[in-house]
Amino acid sequence: MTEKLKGQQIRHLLRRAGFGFTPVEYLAYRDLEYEEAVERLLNFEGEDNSALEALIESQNFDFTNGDDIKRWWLFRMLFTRRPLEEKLTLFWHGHFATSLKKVRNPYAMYVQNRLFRKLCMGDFGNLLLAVSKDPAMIVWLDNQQNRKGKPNENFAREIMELFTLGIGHYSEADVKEAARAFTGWQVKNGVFTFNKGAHDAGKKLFLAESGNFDGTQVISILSRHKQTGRFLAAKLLNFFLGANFDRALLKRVAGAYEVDRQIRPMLKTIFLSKAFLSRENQFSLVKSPCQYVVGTLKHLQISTIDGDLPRLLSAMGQDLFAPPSVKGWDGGTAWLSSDTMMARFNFANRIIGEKFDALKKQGSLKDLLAEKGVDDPRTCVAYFLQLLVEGDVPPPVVKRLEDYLGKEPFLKGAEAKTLLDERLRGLLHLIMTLPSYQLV
Amino acid sequence: MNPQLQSDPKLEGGKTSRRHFLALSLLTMTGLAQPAALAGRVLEDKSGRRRCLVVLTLSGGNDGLNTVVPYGMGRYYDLRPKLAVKGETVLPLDGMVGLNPSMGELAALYKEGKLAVVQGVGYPEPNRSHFRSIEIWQTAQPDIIGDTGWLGRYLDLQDKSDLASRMLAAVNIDPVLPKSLLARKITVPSVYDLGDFRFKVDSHYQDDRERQLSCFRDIYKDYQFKGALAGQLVKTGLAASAASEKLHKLTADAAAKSSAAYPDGRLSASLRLIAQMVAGQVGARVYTLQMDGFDTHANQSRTHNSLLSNLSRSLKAFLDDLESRGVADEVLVLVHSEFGRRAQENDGRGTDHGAAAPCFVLGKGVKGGLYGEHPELAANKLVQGDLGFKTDFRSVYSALLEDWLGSDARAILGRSFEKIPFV
Repeated sequence: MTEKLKGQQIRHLLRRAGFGFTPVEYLAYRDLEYEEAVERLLNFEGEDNSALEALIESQNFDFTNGDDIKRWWLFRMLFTRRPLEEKLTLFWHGHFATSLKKVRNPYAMYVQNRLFRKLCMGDFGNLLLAVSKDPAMIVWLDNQQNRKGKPNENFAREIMELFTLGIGHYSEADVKEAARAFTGWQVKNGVFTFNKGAHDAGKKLFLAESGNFDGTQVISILSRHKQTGRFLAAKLLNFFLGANFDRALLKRVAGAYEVDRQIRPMLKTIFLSKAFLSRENQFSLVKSPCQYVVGTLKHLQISTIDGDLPRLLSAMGQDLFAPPSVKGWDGGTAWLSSDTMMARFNFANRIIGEKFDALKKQGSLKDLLAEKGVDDPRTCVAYFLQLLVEGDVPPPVVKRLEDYLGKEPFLKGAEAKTLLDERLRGLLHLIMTLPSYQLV
Repeated sequence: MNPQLQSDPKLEGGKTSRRHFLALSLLTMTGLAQPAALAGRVLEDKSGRRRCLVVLTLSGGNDGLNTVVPYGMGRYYDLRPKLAVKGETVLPLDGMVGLNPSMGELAALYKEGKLAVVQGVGYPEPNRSHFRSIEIWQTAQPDIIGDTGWLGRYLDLQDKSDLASRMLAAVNIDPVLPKSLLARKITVPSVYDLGDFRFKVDSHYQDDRERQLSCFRDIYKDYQFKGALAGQLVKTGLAASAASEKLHKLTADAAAKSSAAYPDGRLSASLRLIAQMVAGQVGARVYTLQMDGFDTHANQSRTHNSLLSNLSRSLKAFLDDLESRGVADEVLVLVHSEFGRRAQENDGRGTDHGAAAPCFVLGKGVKGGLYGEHPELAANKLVQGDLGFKTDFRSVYSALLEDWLGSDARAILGRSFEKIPFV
């Protein structure tokens, strides 16, 4: 394999398994074989993340404040050395979508987020059990009110519809029986408690099995269910690879689950599949707002997080800790609407402004460009297109951007110097508004 | 007297009722042979301005029983020992049902004849999943997973000259485009915050804006790009830049003219924006928006009452706003939810996912009143504990599509439904 092709594959992997990369982060993976890079991302426990933890310590986040927990998480996405850990945490946040808007307790949301991070790669049965006992989840899906005699079905329905089997693989009767099994699973003083007095210990008929089931047994039945493996496999494939995969791959990923319900081997199967690396599956997913924002900050090597970044993400359609519904974010083309696209464009404009204002203090733009071998419109457009979209644009676009930039900024004199600053900002803004830049 | 209507959603072919027959013959007279002629017809009011429809979705499943309260049915109080709205506080619509006391403004609009309440609206074999049920309402295709919306198909039926004469064919006031607006021929823009909905450039170099915008448009117009997403990205990006430029020009004047007193909240902000767009002659035929928070599984009363109060005050302010801008005749509002809630309250002072529920249609052009029958509450009349529907939601859509928007409901909904005569 050529170095060029391998480089492409590793950058694709870093974008999909994480949120993009800074030049330094790329260097850490560039010389690995592709399979080694996959292993390193998957087995992230070995990565020393103490620099991130120290940085977070220095920020003095208030975990009882909704904006602070959002910024805390963005810090993690931006500075972690374990990108897949954060990406997978985001996946589980969407899967087990829980919102501050109802829970109204940022600290409980923070605790839940830590739980996702801690259990993201291992036994799904453990994760499901922990989530089912998670205080934010109990409040979110009303299990607090689920009591013997008059069960509340909300959690029981969603655990099957959204967390394990998917719609169509259970009956209304299963919902009612599962609700009975989860009676008495409550929160007291901020922690999980089993309220025996509220629990219905009677016999239940659930998914063709019968017994005096409680929640733990229902979770066990659900996590061992063949359909759960298929449901999770499809969802992970859609998230990490896209909708373009065949039944055989779906079967292999589901098969990896069936062994002992571990998430890690499922991801390994996905990242090592031919489909993952195929040309048609590269730059084939719409970037989520997190991917767009964190990736852009990494690309431009911006290391400050503005206080209103969570609000900007929300305007793009991804309010962290506040997904739009119990189904989480639909993702894909659902990210694309006029106002969310405009919010992306305007974020790009703003972040470029900040970057260039900072660069001004570091010296002449012309000298910085010269170091990269950039000294005219053609080399300049080519350089930034390669950096930001791997050069993946139709030829007329290159021409049009060169026209926009013009020759004048590369002439001598004070006027040209100002013009270079103006047009470079415009050029980068325009590249970030390109359809190609919306894709990962 | 309020008009009462017995609707039969299964009406078809030989079982045609008299009213249905009349509707059909009207269709024939206006040119059934050329449905396109009907579809393209523009209904205008006296001043020659065009009509539009605002569709407000109460997201999460609104508890219909505590919204339009059947205070005259003793069974209601058996089903809702803790949650029932007391009979003496209800704002009566007739001797049997009344509005939740949080909705004083809507009760007043009802008295003025500007509010139609359609009872027991739903569809056969109700689905209790939020997502599937709202999809059914939005596509109006309960039997398949449709990929166009009922409003999208309506827009697709408009002829080209009609669409071209409009600044925007439709606008969604929400970050996510609802499936109801998915169309084949056009991409409907979404606008959430008008201040942010603008192609901005670096504050040091405002003079460069036109150059950048023109470069952006040139690039987007001929973006030849592989992959399934290219088309949608290009369409959305172009729609965003075009719509934002148009809207800013139009609403700059209209913004100042508002005198209505809106309550706080997102719903008010969205409705105010719609009023600006209508007054600014954006020309959209459809606006969509949603209000969240109706999934009241636990401790429902306070939350639900406060939602209904905000809804009622916001809608009243909206109608006042339209009136003060001189466009009240142009707008009709439909308020609906994906389903109602279980008849019997649960043990957590809340209610679980249910089925049929009432819809509201309001505006100056509405024939106010109570329509349809209230579902029976007797145990043996409930369907798996839920209210059975009395009016198919497509009967409501049919009236809106034909009698308000002047379109061809049959072409959009796939078959005929008896229309509820609230227009």
